[in-house]
Amino acid sequence: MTVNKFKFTRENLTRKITIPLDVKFDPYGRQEMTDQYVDELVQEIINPPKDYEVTRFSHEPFGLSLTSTNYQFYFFDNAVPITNVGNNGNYWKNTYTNNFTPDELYYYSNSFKNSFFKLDLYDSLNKQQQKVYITLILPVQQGKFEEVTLQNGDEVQVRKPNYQLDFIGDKEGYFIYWLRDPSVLGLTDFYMTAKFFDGKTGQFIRFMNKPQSSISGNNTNFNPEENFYYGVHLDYVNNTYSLSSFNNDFRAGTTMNPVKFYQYVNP
Amino acid sequence: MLNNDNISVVPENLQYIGGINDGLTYPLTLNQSSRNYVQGEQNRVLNLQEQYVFERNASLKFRLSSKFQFVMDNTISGTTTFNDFKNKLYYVNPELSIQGLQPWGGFPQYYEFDFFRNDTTNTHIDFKPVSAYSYNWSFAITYPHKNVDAKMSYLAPDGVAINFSASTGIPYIIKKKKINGKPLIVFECPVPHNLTTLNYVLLPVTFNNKNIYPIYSLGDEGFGSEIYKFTIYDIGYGTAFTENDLGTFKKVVDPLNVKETTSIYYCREHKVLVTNDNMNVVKAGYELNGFNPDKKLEYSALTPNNVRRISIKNATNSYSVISKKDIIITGLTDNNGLPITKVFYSLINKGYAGYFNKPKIPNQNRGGLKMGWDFNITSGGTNNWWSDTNLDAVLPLRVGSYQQSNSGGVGGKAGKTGVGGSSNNGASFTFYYNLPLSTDTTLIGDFCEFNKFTQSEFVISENYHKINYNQTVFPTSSTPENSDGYYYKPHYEVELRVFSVYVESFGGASAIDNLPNWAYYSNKYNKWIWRDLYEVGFIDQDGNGVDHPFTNDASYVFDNFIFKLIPEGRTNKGFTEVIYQPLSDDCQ
Repeated sequence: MTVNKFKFTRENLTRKITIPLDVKFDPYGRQEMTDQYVDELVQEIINPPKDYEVTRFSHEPFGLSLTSTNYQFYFFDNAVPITNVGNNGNYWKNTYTNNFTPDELYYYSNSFKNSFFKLDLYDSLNKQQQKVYITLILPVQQGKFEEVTLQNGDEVQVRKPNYQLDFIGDKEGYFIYWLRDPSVLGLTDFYMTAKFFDGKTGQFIRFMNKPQSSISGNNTNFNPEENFYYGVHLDYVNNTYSLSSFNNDFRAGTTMNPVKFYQYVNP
Repeated sequence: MLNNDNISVVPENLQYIGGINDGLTYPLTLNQSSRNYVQGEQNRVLNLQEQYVFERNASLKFRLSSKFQFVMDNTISGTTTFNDFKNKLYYVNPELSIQGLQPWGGFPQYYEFDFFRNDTTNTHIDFKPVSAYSYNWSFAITYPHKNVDAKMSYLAPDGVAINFSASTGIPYIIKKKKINGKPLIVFECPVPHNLTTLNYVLLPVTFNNKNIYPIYSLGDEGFGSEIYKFTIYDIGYGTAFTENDLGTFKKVVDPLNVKETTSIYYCREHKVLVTNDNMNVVKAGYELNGFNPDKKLEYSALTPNNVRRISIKNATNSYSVISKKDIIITGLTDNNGLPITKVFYSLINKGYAGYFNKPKIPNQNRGGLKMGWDFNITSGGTNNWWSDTNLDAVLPLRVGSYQQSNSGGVGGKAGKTGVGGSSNNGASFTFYYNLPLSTDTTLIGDFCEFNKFTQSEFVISENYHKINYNQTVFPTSSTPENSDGYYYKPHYEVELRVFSVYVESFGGASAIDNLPNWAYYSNKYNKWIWRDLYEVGFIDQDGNGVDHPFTNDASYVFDNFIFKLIPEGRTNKGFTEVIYQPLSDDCQ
């Protein structure tokens, strides 16, 4: 308020002018701020509750409410050296018979039944920075069947590395259990790699998202970020996950377009 | 602050001739906003134990999980001409059916009742694995949000029925007896009366202008009768009370304060908090119970479609039921205006396969299920309460339907076998199922009593649902309007917090510090009455209290339940969940 003049007309009455002077000292509000700061500090010291609870994510429906997650693993048959495969992808087969005999498969020998696939979900494609946050195990006791001939000539059904996981039937490795509060780590997108623990050799076999034969040029010298990963995306609204190519070009894991992993052969 | 740079005050004597230069005052006020900085206020003693207790009691977030054990007895057989049903039955006397001496009939497989369907090759429904746990039953989490009245009927043992409303109290039938030489009027109730000998009852009988009577004793010397019977001393009431009179009574705690101490009677109405979409139901791995599956081999030659298979009539499995959503009870009050202390798992039969749930209100597509209370489940014949014509027993939930032609079924080899074998190939059947509970759905619950003076609620009779077969698709009875069926309890209580067993009171109308906002003020006694909420983690000497694990800023509540599908003709009382050790016996 700005007042230039006060003019008093003559009247025989007592007049008063009240001039309020509102003075605020510098420390005004500091007490409250201090209280607030102390509260925050106390919370920081005692570790305020964070929600580390996990929840279940199932595969995002596709088609007519189909929910299965489909994985296919192709093993290299070692018929020729990897450097000689050219662009022939037929050297990779969706069977365990490259690594195990039909009898080992049919009778679930220890070497076979102790083998498993290990799907690791990383936060980044960058190998120097990435951390693995989730691991899914697919036991060899799951999967579809193929017919093989035993040593004694009998034709029998054995498992093959072709998984159709769902709410019922084969379901180990189907659900992803991850933090129900997305703000705790802020991670909703992951990158999936696959390894196979071969119980016969005691070694892990790595897998790629395409056969090495499809890599043009030198098929043993390529960019790993483009060739080892599939994408995994969590949807917190519907509590579902979806799989895609590493760069999200296409959806994977469906019955029509399963996640396909091909054995990586290191020359 | 005012800008006073340009204020000039001109005395009157300088403005006007003869102006008087007096009486001018300039009071100045100084407003200061500051307070002393108190060093002591910044000292905090951190005690993690206290902090844990504080956070635990302040948290109103609950995570619910439970184990349901499904127990059933598949006892009602029927016949059907619908091929998909006929080819899947657990057959009764198939050797007669194969000869055409009787229609193909038997029991539906256990998975028509179970929480989980595993018949993935079923051609009757377009089986989706994601729905395997929701084809037959719908789960929800509900809380009682208000009291409602409901029409009821009690069928007395002598066959006379009394129709009454929940709000009128508990039904009784009068028997006059001499016990220990004393003339007593015995009131036999079908439900627990929740009375003590210190209470009074308000009766629809007036004698000498009074209708409140003191209770003389509980029970009539029969074992356990003190729960269901009470007596008043017959001081010469004459014809005011006659043998086999029916009526309803209300409990009165203080006859001098009838208005405030008379119990109210009602049914709880449940409101949905969490729908089926937000519940995970899965089989509890490896758990077996004492009931073995009832299975047999159906030989191919003794089936209508010549397919050999294993038939399972009964199986009991255990399931984990987990809510994906947290239950946050902040701001919620229950049916009596008290803070929420319990929620319920509420189940309804969905029955997507279409064996059950033909709507009783067809023009509205509602009423697939029937509803009643514990006392409506009677042994020895179906109680008339459950008749299709009794609309008071109809649960008005929405019903979905789909049609299917008989020719679409598996098998159905025309004219192959049995009476009615495939004679109606091509006929169209309509199958009904109850739609899952949505958040705008309400469900009637248990019949209860609440007393303001004691601030306590008592469950008089539990609510039950009944499913019976769609007699068009699967006839089972010669009286289709009131056919046999299965009963189940839809609401399962989960304790989140607990009120104290004692009642607190404080005299005077003015509020006091820490007076809970649910305290009841009695005008007559001029005092506040309430029950405290026990601190979480505190269990009193009678075992009342909760001690749920607390982490992630939420309480984790786990419970075990037995879900019983009770066949017609058996009363719920025939099952005992826990065998209690006697507190004392005659040897002591």
